[in-house]
Amino acid sequence: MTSAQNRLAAGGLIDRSRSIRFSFDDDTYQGFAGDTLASALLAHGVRLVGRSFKYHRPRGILTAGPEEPNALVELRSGARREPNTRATTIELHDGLQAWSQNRWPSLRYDVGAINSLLSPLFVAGFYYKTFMWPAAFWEKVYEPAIRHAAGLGHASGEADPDTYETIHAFCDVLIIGGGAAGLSAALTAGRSGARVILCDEDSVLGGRLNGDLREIDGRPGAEWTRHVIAELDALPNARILRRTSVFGVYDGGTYGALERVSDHLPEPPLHQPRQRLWKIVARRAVLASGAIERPIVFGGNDRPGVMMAAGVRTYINRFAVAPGRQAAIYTGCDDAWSTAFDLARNGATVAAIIDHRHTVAPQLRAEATRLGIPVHLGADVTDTRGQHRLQAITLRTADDGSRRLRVDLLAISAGWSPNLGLTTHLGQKPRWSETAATFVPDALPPGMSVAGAVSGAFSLAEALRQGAALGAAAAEATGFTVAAPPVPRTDDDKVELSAFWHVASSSKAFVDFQHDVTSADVALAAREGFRSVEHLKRYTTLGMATDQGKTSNINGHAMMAELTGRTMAEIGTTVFRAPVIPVAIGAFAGHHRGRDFRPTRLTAGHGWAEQNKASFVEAGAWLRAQWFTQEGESDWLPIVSREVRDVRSKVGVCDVSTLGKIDVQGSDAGLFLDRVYINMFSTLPVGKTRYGVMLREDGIVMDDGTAARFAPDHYVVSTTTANAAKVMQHLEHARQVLWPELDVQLVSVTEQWSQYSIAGPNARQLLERLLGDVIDASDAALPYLGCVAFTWRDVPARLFRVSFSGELAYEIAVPAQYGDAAIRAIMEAGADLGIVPYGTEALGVMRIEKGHVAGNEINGTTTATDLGLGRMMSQKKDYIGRVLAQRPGLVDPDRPTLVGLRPVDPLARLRAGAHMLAVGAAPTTENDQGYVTSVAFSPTLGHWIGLALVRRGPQRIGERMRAYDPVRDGDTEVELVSPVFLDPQGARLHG
Amino acid sequence: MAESLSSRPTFADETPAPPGSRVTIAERANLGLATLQARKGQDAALRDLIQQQYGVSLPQAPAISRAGTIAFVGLGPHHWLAVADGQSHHLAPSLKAAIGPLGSIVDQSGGYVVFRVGGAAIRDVLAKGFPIDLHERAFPPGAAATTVVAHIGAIIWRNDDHDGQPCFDIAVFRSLSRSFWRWFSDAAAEFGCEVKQH
Repeated sequence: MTSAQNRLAAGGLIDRSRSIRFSFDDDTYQGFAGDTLASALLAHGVRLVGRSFKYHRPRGILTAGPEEPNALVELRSGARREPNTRATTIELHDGLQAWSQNRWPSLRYDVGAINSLLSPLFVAGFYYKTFMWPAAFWEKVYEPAIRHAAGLGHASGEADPDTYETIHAFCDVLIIGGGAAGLSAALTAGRSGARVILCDEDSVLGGRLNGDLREIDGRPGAEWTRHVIAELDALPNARILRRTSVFGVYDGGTYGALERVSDHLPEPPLHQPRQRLWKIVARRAVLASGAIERPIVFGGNDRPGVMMAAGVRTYINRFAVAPGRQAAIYTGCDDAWSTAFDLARNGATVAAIIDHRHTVAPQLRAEATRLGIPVHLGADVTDTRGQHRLQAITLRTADDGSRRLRVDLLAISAGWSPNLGLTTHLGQKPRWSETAATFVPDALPPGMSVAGAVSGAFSLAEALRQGAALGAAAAEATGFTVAAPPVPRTDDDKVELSAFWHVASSSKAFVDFQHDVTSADVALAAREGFRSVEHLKRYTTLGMATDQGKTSNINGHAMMAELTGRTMAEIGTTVFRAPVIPVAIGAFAGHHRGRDFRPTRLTAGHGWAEQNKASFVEAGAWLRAQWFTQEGESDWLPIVSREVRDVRSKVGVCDVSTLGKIDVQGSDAGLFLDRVYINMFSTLPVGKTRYGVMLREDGIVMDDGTAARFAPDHYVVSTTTANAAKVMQHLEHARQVLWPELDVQLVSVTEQWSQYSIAGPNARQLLERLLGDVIDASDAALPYLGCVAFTWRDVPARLFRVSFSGELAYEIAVPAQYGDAAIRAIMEAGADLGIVPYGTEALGVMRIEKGHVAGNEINGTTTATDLGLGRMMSQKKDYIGRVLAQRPGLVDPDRPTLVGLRPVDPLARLRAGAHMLAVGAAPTTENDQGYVTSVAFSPTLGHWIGLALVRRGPQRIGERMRAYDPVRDGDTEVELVSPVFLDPQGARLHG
Repeated sequence: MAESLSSRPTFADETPAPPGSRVTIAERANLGLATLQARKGQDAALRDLIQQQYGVSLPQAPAISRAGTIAFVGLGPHHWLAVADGQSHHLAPSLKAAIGPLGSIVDQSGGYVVFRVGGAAIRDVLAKGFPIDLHERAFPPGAAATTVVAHIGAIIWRNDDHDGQPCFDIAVFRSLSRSFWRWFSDAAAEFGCEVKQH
């Protein structure tokens, strides 16, 4: 383990009593609680932490914040491995493991660095220019090679062992950012009684107050921060969310935020998620997200040891780490001079302050002189030296002389850019401010205001003043009264700057560190005509890396402006999309992963079905029993065939609770149903059930089912499982919008009733045992399509004599809380009648044997006539879909119409989806005569059967055709037959 | 005559809740539930009758009005959910007898499972699923909403505080009660959850 040679003896917001061991690549180190991975590595003098994306250049730590473009590492091991985490935001914890990325075989000796020598090949737009020929090479050679080389880091490839959660929050005032402006706003709004949420992405609130030695009301900034937090914590109406980044602004005052609940811990604590996604609805928001320091574009500006000036101050003042011993400062603004002073005060040698400006404030010069720091005004850094770490810089003095300085740290700053990404999420664009020399927010999302540095006001005094004023305004706008807040006093601010962006240089000068976009790439884009900021972005990939160009966009835009002779205001800037930081998909999913991806609907008889070895199939959100495996059975087809035979020879029971059920009441209920069904329902007698078909307005069949009449003003409509919600919506639309004058009330009772179909020759015998003491189930008392409501074993029950299987069949319904008891009672009563439970597969086989249409036929393209139901279309009344069902295309006699199929070879298998061709016809679209919709092996007939939609099908019964299925190599000769394969007279049904 | 059919409690075959008691949940077993919709043009007469028969003013908003053991939750225009302790499927016929032709009554005692939830941390749990504001100022006792929780349609109303803690009832379709419980027990895990008999 190396020593922490760069750790200062005292100071910082770290806890020196809590030592923490961690590893980076193959070495172990020690840091303190309160360190980030970046600060702890810098304390040990580790400079090289990664390789760049394209050229594999050695890279170090540039910043001290979430804008970091270089120091991306893989964190943790095994299933918890996470690539591309920023070392500057990773809080140190015991046992933390991190690895450098994008290098092979090691960080120091990386084969990929050859790309740097080949860089003429990898200029902007190289994809479009290099891999053009031969065309066949793209898929086989170029793309795999590029894919192998591309990307940063590696995902674990294993399931994430941790959990995530989503949460909703509501507030009057949302404050984004817990620096001076945000704290000031939160305090003012909080004191008014408004519901306030303050989000800060750091673990420690205070923003720049933690990195800079500033005074507020005569005490250190960090101390002022602590007092404000204590007061906010005591307010019941204020909530502080630490480690929480607001990443997006959405309509209606909605904000997305990511709370890193457990990322700073070895593992999430019991019952805690790794991350929590907040959806915050705020009536007002104060954005106090601060600013991001801008690098300067000059030759070799990416060498490890070149760092942002304010970042260096953060390492010194917050983390008690001096990132270098022999330092220089290169800047064009006052602010960076503080870095030189803080370094000098902490024992580092400051070899030079190099300022692009020719004049600076006399008090800055005086302080430099006092600390013995040489100052070069009107000077620039033109190049840097050092293989894996900075060793020297070349500077060009005001008199055009050239000097080399031996330094191990170069702190740079071209000024500050407001961190304004969130202000552009709803389409607003920033404007150029000449005075602040940066883009500042202009129009803002509704309800948002901006305070402090994000507004372009870079002084501490102004941040505090704006924060208080806008916090007060936001609270007042939401109806709270605010006492005029006292604005704290601060020490002097140093905020003068002159805008400058880059220095001409013969070495590579990086604009976008993360995507390796250089000044030469920007120049190439300008030469080749990609001159708008949007084209520049796409052509060079400037700002398209995971950091969204936080440190690079404005420099690139400024260079393009200069190259094309435009002002910054003219060239403008790109805007940002949510999320402003990378957000794991898992955080969006929260609880909803695996079997909880969507809720599952279970019938009341589900537990019973599980006990009876049901295999389940998804039907929408429902799970339905598909078949029930008995002792010794394994293959599904024999099981289903056995269930069919048992039903047809004895009796079976099937859970049909999932079918939609709609209660229709009111004096106009019959009239209402007449208007939504193609057939008549007002004439249906009480105590009877009728099959009905509903059309869409366009004349196509929407759904089928039955309606039973229990009273003159009371019907119960059934729908298919799949269309239950759609039909309910359709009927509500008709009731509320089309015919509000009708006296009709609708309510879904799908969930209210557990319903079981009891089918087979022994069905009546079973019912007599089950219900004999309460109702008469004889054919005379309850003929086919009769229905009756009664009380059974102290609960209300309904019995319908309907049949989907073609057998003598009934459906019995009880309130769902009794559904479990009911199925057990049915099975018990039927035990010696040979009762079997059957699932949806057997149900499907039996309906195909009877030629009943289902979802495969009611598929959104068929008319009632196509399905053989044309005679049901009433001529005596109007109904939804009637007019458009008469369109010429829908009444064309040549339309594919329902017909049955049987294979000529009784051993041949049929396939649904096969296309129907005349025997001998070539398989072309022109020769297509229709298609097979449903098939089943009929255990009753002993061969495969099918339903198909065939042109003029019913008139062609007896004809032989081909069922052609090129996908599964099927080409079967079939005979067109009646779709009713079994008992066409309905003798069983009426039995 | 055979014995009565027995109803099945929702928690019968669920995984146990994480231990603790900052959150409580109970199924309101045998709860009487029925939807009530006014017949065309009978709103005023229905309101008067309900007032007279039950001493309840039917809410004209998403809210709950209660008198004794019966309460009415506003679900939509001319549409309420009647809730009555212990009446199970007997509520609908008794309402029907009282109301006659003024309204359409439908038994929903099997349609919904109603959970009573409370405890010091209950709002923190509900916030993980409900997209609505349940804060004291926005959702006082007597407030109700038809909304969604964790992709599950739900009706929620706030009762009077219980032991100084907020108390809510949540109605979800019976078929979704297991999915609801999986979400709830997950969301409540960090606080500990006590499953009570109601």
